[in-house]
Amino acid sequence: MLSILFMNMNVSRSSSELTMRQMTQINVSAVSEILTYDMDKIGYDRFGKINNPITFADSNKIVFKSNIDKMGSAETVEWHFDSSTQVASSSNIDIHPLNRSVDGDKTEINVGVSSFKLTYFDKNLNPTATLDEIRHIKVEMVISSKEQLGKIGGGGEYIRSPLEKMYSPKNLHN
Amino acid sequence: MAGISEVIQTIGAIIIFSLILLTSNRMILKNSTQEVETEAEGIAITLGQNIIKEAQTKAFDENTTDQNVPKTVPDGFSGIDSDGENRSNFDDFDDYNGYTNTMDTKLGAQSFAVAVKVAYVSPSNNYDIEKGSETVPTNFKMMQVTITSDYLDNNREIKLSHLRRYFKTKEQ
Repeated sequence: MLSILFMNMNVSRSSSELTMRQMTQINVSAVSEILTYDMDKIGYDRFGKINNPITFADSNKIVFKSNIDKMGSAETVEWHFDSSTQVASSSNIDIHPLNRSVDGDKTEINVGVSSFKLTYFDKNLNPTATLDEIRHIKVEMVISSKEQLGKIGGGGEYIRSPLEKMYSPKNLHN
Repeated sequence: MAGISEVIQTIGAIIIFSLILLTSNRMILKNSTQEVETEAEGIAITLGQNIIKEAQTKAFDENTTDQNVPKTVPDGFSGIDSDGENRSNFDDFDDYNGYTNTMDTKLGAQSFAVAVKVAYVSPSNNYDIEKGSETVPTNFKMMQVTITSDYLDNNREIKLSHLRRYFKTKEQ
């Protein structure tokens, strides 16, 4: 009877883990899609590129100019991972909001982002912090499940899915 | 007789239980394999896209790195060559031809291998890179990035391709 019980628990746990991982991977792909749309358009304008479009860049925040809606004049786009704020709707204390704003109009991306790091590279792929030398932007992100996956014997773990992607916006190149 | 019957029933129950246990273990293993593979596929595609995106920002040809377009097109283009093995030296699209590297990822150090091939292709050959040429210039260059990893099922390869077309940026 004990064997049957443990077997049942193992099968159930395995299925739950698979489902939760699929959910986190779907979230990774959704955030990646928005990131790709924005990052590829850094410095884009309807009639040419914008000179020195990146106005702020550190490991958890980037601000740049881009005509993101392809209408009128260029907008100011900001991505900011706010690691000092916790997401209230989750039991996972490592989850923080990832904010995207266009001309101050903020959208909070609450899909379980537990880590978000930006690194900048120059044309020779060397790390740089000088704004007008940035040619490539690497995003390292981890999305975690909002709820714990229970373990036999107590405790539990959060399911994590990573994303590591290098963006090379065309308008940052000559 | 009742004793033998009970023994047979018990043996039968053990056999049935063993079969159920084997099936459930197989299912758990399959789930775990599926999880790793899905993640590995995502990483492989991202690695390939990173290289393609980077190459897209480079000049079409060695002869256009200074943004001066050759007057004779396509005869003015150079053959597929390389500016060395160091990726940071690459300044045009075909420098990536022959580039190979192993990549560190979240799944482990040197867990993915990348190999890049670039060739001139033509519409008459349906842009097939296998029928492409490194020496006969056309207006089209095809890049094929092949990613392999032990984490992918049966060591299968993931191939991403990108077709680049030459276009004039300045009047000559």
